[in-house]
Amino acid sequence: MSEARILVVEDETNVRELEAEILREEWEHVDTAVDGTDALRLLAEHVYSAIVSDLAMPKLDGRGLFHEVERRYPASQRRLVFVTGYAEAEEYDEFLRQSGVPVLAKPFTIADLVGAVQRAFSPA
Amino acid sequence: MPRVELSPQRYRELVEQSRGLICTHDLAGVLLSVNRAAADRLGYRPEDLVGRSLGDLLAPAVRHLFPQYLDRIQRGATDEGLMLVVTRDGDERIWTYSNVRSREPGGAEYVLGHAHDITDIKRSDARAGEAEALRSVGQLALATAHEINNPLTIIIASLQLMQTRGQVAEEAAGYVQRVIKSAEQIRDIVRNMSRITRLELSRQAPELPPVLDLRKSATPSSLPPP
Repeated sequence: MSEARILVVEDETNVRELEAEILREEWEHVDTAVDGTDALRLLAEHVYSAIVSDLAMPKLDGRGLFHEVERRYPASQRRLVFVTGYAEAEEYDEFLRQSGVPVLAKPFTIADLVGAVQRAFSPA
Repeated sequence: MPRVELSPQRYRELVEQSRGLICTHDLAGVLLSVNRAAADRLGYRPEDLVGRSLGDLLAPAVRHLFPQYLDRIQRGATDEGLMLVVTRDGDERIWTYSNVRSREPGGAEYVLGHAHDITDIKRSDARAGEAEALRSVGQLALATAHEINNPLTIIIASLQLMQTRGQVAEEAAGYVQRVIKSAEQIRDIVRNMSRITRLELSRQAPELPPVLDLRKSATPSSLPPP
């Protein structure tokens, strides 16, 4: 177990709980948020080694969360990983290209998710 | 407005220089005259076409309809519609025609034909229709991906989690692995659906109608791997 702290942001309960469960196999501190607004509340309290976020969410989506993190916690911006079933959607395509945030497409394997989080610890 | 009388020579020039596609044929469909625009469009000289049957210039698929056209023009004096012609090079063109049966004083009856080539318009309409169909398919694919990818994530990752924790009984291990493989196949199908950029059909069997070929219709992902 490492002292790293990871934040999972996902509005779909089953997916959120599963992602957290998988990551808790590797890391002790894994927090969950139901959308971008909820994530900002937790970001005000902790510094995260990796932020694994869905893209399409109510209230504040992944794109909105990216911009808020960029504005409020610029050092954490490079810790973001998007997990999305919308990887081919034009709506997010341009944003994903411009932001350069790594994207993990749903459905993912355990190795995919753990690998993406490990890479977020030491982004290139 | 003064009435202008045109000489037969001027009439001939008018027809010859017209960009409209003009011809005359007898009641058996044999061409009596063809203006240059019509002959050019078909890839012939006007003199190559005179004496031939108009029916010979129709595309093979519609040639059997020519006697019905002749019957209509003989009974009704006028006829209009679409005709599919074939050029000397074998290219099929769509013409819209409006033909009238006529008779010169003291002469035999003949048909004056006037047509426009609307192939480009029709093809453009067909392309627009295909683009619309692609948009609809794309929207359906995205909606499907959105609905399916979350439960697929649960299936694949949950079973893998059970495997890594050693929670799968030995006798069930093969079944679990089979379910994971099948879920991954569904994942690939959904991904291909999201990348459809053209509509390619394939026929699974001669007696079955053609279906959308997902692999041929999809392009590789434009996004970098995670």
